[in-house]
Amino acid sequence: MKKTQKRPLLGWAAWIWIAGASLAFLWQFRRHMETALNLLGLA
Amino acid sequence: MTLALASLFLMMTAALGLGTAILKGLGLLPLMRTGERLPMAFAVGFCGIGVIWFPLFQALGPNVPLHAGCLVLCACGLFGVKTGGKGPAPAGRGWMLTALAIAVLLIAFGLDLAEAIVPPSDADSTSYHFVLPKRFWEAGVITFEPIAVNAAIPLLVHMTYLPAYGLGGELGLTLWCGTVGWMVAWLFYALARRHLERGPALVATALLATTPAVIYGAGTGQVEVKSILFTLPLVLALPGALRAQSPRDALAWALLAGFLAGGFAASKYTGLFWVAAAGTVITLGRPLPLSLAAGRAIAFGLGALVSGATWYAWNYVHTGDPLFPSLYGLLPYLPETHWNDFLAAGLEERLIAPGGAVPRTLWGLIGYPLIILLSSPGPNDAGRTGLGPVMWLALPWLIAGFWIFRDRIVRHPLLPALVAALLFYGLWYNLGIQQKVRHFLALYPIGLLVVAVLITRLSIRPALAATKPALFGGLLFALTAQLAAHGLITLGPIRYLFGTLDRESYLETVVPQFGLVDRLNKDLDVNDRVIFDVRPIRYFLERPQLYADPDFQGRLLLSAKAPEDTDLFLNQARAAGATHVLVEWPIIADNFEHKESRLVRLLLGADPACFGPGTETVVRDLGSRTESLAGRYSPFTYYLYAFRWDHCRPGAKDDGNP
Repeated sequence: MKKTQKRPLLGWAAWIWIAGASLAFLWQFRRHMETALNLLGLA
Repeated sequence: MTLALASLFLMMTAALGLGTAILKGLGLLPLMRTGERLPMAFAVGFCGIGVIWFPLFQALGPNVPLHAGCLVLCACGLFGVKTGGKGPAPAGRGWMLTALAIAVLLIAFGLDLAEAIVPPSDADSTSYHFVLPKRFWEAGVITFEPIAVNAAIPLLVHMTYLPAYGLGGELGLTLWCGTVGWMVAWLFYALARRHLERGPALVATALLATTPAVIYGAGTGQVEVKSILFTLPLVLALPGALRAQSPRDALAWALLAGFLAGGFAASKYTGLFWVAAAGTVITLGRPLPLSLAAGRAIAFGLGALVSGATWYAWNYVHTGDPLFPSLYGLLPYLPETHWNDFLAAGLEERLIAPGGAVPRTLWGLIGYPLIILLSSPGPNDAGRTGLGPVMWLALPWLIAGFWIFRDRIVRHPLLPALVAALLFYGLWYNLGIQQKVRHFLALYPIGLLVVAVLITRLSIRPALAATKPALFGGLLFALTAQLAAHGLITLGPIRYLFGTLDRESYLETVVPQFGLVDRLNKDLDVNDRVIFDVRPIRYFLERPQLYADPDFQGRLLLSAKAPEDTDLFLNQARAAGATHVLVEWPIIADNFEHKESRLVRLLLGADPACFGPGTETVVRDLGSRTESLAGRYSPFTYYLYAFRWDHCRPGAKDDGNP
């Protein structure tokens, strides 16, 4: 068995980090997203 | 348009030619790879033009043919460049990363091009970055203005704006600024190729080109992005000096490193930290033999003096302080500087005391990069000019990479530049005036390059292969978020280019208080001189002006720390040749509710006969050049009064309205 196949948890952990870190980043810049939605006429 | 393009072509070839000639003269060209030569030459030539054009302009004045001739002369350095390379760059394999990066780069380039061909709207650029070269060219001479922060600063980068503006006008200037931003990206890619395959190198370049602080400043007159040309080449120069096979090469690399570091110091006071950091690494990075270490230090110092000393000498001659106004109280000032205790205290309160959101402690030093990312907005401007999510998303891989490769890192050729960048960070964090994120931007590409190399090496390790899809997902998120921000900030220029707005209407929507420009240009004569403190319109105003910032200048004493003295102010205004004054409140005896305006209070204390009748103008007060497009602005009224000096009696204050 390949070493990579032995570590599916590591792969999931990486995805959870990326998702959480991305959301945290977006939350910080929500004001800019509001501006963007306003500018695009979507708000 | 033709003149602007011709000017851009001349500027580009001149920078490339001058840089090539310098590198050839130092014997360093054959030590570089083919792909590195032209971008490295551009960085060196950009610095060289900045150094040369100060004395050149003082000697030639605003003579277009002579300036064009000098640029052609510089461009001649391009003749005889050999294309033979030294060692191949790592070959490319996968096409996916390459295609993704090229797509992002093409979009980013299109957006930057849009920004480069519309009238300038960045507040700092229209307040002073573009004002200074325009005024110098119009006056035919570079003069010293004792205005801290906005005029009496190191001006090497602005010296490159002089011929760009003189030959190509406003469009020539904005095109030059936009192009220099892309030369930074080219330089980054060329240096990344030494360590990375084509795909990862292009992706790292795309991440840099769309970094929020880069898109904020690259196409404007701001110097942070341009300063990368003075820091990034040291990725080659520092290991070159420390690991050269011959003492001659070591000294040549050290001289080049010093020349570029001095260029940074001559462009921004924080560049002095870079001189200190890179100088320390080049001297102590390989201490033995002692004679060679001393030789490297001397060569570095000489290079830094050649490029960096001019503006500090210029400040010293005109004020008595080479770091005006930082050393006030320590050095004797010349009387014509008009600097005093009130201004020093006001500047301290406005710029220095607020510092940043993070305390200057050891934990603050370590946590700053994370805190600014997750606690914006703050006084450090991270909310709009930050460094993007790359480092944050990559954090676990970075920690793992530094641990796994700990033995290889100490021998890696990127280490000297990384150590110098960290030293700079420590100095800047503890001693710098402000903790604005973009002030660290010049060193960010070195960190990004190290991260790109580390993660690329890590991602091919079988033990971590399971994390590769998530890493790719994070990359897609970072590129998408940054590109979206890029699109957002360029929405104004795009609407202008593809819409029906004319120049004035467009500028009214993106430049705060722009409505004043037309009024002042119409109402005032070329012999008039208006006192005002509306920063963003300075570039557009075609009439003589007295910029009356309360904390940056003392020619018109408006400091909140000084006692209010109407007679002193009127005497100063008259001596400075003021004919008009622009204020944000009407000067009428009963408007004391507006007591927060010191200028209005001073004028209210004067004899009403000193002023003619006021005229009012309603303008838009914008919070940001992007947010204003969403309709976020408020109307604001300004009042223009003419001084009637013949009727003005000192100390005579009657009741009644002007």
